Amino acid sequence: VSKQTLAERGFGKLLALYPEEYRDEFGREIALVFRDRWRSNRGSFARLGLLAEAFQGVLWEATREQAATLWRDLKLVARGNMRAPLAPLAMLLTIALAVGANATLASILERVFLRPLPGVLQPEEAVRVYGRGYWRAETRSWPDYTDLQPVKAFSAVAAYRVEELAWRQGQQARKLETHRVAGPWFALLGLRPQVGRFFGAEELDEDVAVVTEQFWRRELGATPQLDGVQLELGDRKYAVVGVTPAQFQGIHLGTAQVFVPLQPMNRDRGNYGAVHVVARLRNGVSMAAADREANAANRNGYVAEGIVQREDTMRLGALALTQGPAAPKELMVAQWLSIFAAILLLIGLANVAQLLMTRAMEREAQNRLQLALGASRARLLRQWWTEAITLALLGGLLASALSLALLPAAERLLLPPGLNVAAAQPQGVIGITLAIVLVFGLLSGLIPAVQAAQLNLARTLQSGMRMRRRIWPGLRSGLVVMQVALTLVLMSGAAFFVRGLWQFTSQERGMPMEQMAVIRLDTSAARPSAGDEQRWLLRVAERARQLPGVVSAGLVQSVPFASSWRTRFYIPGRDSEKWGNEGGGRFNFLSNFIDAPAQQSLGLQLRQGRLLSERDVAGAPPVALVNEAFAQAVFPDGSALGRCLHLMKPAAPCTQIVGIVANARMENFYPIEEEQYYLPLAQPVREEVASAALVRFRGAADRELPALSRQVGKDLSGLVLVQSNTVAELAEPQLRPWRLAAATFTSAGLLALLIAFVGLFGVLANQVLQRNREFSIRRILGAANANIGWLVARSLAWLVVPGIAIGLGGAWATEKALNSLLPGSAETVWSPALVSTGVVLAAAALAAWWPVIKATQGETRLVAAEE
Amino acid sequence: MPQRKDSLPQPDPLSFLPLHKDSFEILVSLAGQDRHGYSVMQDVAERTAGQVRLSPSSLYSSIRRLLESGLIAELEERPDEDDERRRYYRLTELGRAVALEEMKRMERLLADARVAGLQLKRRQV
Repeated sequence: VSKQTLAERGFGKLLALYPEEYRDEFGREIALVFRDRWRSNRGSFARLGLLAEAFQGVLWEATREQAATLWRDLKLVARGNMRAPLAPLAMLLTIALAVGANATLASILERVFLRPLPGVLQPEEAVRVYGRGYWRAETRSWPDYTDLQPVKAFSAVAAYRVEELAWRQGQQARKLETHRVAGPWFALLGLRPQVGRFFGAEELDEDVAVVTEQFWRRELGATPQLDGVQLELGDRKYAVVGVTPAQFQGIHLGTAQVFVPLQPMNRDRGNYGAVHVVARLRNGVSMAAADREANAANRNGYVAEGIVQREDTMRLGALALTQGPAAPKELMVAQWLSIFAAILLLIGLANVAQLLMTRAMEREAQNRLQLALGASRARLLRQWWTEAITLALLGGLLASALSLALLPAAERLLLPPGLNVAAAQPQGVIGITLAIVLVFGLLSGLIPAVQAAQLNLARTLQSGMRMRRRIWPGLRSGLVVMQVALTLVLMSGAAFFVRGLWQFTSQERGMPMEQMAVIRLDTSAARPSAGDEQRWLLRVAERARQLPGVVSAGLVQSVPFASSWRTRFYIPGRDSEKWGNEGGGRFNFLSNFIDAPAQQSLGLQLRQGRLLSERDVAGAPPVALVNEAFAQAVFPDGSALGRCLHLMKPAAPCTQIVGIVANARMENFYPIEEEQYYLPLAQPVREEVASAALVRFRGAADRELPALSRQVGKDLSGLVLVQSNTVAELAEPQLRPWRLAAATFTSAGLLALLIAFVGLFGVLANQVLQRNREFSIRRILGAANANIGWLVARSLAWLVVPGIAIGLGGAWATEKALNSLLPGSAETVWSPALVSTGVVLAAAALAAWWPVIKATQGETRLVAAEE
Repeated sequence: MPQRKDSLPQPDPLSFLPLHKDSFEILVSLAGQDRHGYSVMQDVAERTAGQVRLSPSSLYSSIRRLLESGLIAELEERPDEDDERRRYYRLTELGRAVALEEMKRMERLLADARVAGLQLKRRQV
């Protein structure tokens, strides 16, 4: 035999592309024919042609043969599944639910937490300045912004404020989310105008505006000619000079519509909420290096004003607020939900693998027969993979459809309204789904495929085709243990959120929330003179008091669940260690400037001293009310009444504590009593004014408010935009993620419980069937039913106890982690892990019911006769 | 020579028509004598003056299809003078019947074309 040439060897290797059976049948022949033709063609040109033709032919034919084999396998799979459709349907449903839920969440989370803000150029170089320590907020003071101007690590620094400005008047009036921007803001973000131009840092004194592409299309008729186009926002007219690129909607949480210049603000270092600061890193500069330089510049700024700043106060982070340290809490719920969805996916995977293993046992005889008839192991393996992947892909199709259908609702539920994120693309959702199901299919098909590959032909021939063995009992039990453990973790998470919601809704709030409503006015379009707005709010309160259903109406600076203010104060001899980074014995508690009638509207309950009165006006001795948490935190010896607070400065005159009131949760629902104090609106410290009229009705606010709203609208017609809400409405966004989490996690937990129940039942029932003969013999030999029942219960314990032990560890860790979402919840009555353990045990007992009955009712006469 | 089981009903030759051109070429090659794959390939190339060239892969794809449908069969014994490694194929009765039906179909098609006025010019022959 002559030696093979390189071309012949290469061609031989190429034949590996054919399915194995085809290669076994014709591979050698094809290679021989190629060899003959190769040797009969002597010219290089002819050989080159032959090579091309032969290689192309193999590629084409091998693909066709592979497709034909796959088609045959698919038909086999379809036939097998049609005969017993229950198991494949259960698998499809498991995959569709588990994968669909994951794909929906993955699509949302990817856009919120990973994708850069739409429209920003080279987003990896754009950073945002956040606070550090106590001030974790995303806002800084104006001097903090100016401190950063000389930082060499930045190629540009800019600031902006987010405001809602009134646009148009009368019935057409509405609010536009506006960014007031300072510095080279547009250049920093790498934006190019779609139409017109942007304004630069030198035009900050002019009344010019840039609008988003969406606003330009919707409201300005997409006019290419911007000359003479004006926007009347609040009390000013802005000339529209440019349009931002499509998709760009600002860089804040909500979607902006208009950008106008921000004039320099006063240098109040204490006003941490002044501006948002953003910067672009110079090429090649790391975030850490820029962070150090920025803090050094910030410290220099403080030193220049005679303040010693011991620690870093700012840190650089992601430009997108959702990706930084100040991301909204409800997004954290979405993150947790995604972890739980991943657990559900694992449980689903275990379930599908288990069902496939059961089928592997059922089909063992068929597989043995196939092996005995000469089928290769590779063929068996491929059949199992084909089955698993086909199921996964079909499940994936269902999951994609489910995910696309669920996505809009899930976004509405999980994301704050109007969140500035890229829109979902169907192809993205389908891509994510397919990626998950392919991994799912490969993993779930692995176990039965390996089982099929381990079949022993010699044993098959010795023992006959009907022999059945218990395939990897340890692995099947392991899968059930895993399911029990993961179910316990899920149930425990669900119970945690249910408990949180229960705490939120059932706790004593310290105020009659259901009876309260606020009316806010936007007066910017009416060009009010100083004090107009306050007078109008007073008119609203007076009008409200005339209505028969109103108990009281007063004015407040902080609106419950909508806005909160803090006012610094100093107490001689009491250095607040809690806010150490601020230094100087300064306290910074929630404050609310209110008038006397507002006390009744807020439902303040006096514990000691007196309430604020109409006599507490400018010129009279300054007074304050504190809540019990305040009194306890600052004066633990109970001596709060009569003590002095020095507002804003250590040398400020004494503001005397004249009363102590009960705690009330006006900012959030967390079960933590926050320190809070109340000051008279008539004794402002920094020109504080009322922002809303707070009304308390006799009955439910949602029933009474519309009439009052209409009345106020009529009174102030054309002057202002009236915004009225019940306090329950304002609080709803805080409860929403918890309601959602409690509902979704409970569904996920129950689904997991159902899946684990099926798994437990399957394993136990299988064991009982396999040991039926043994049980019968035991009974013939005198074993009592209780003993047989005990044997089954012991099998159950072997599955459930390790599962619960592992699951309790996971549940404990989960609860620890979740506690950060709900501070203070750990001190409460019942443990989610223990309650969940009870539920899982009950489900396990139920799963064992039928197997125990079956085991104790086995046929004894027949067995006795046979034995 | 392996035969299809007598108990199975013989399929209708017409149900195989029209034949794929490669399959028909192979049936024609095997009509005169039993051949191995390379010989079929050479015969087709000679008969068509090189106009029809089967690649090794397409040849065996066609052979497999013909084997599966019972139009050809593999010989168990090899002719004395040949290489033992090669596999020989023979036309089955069904294969012959199918080839004849395909021939008739083509003749009818030719006749129809002529009636319709399609004539080859002399130099095109």
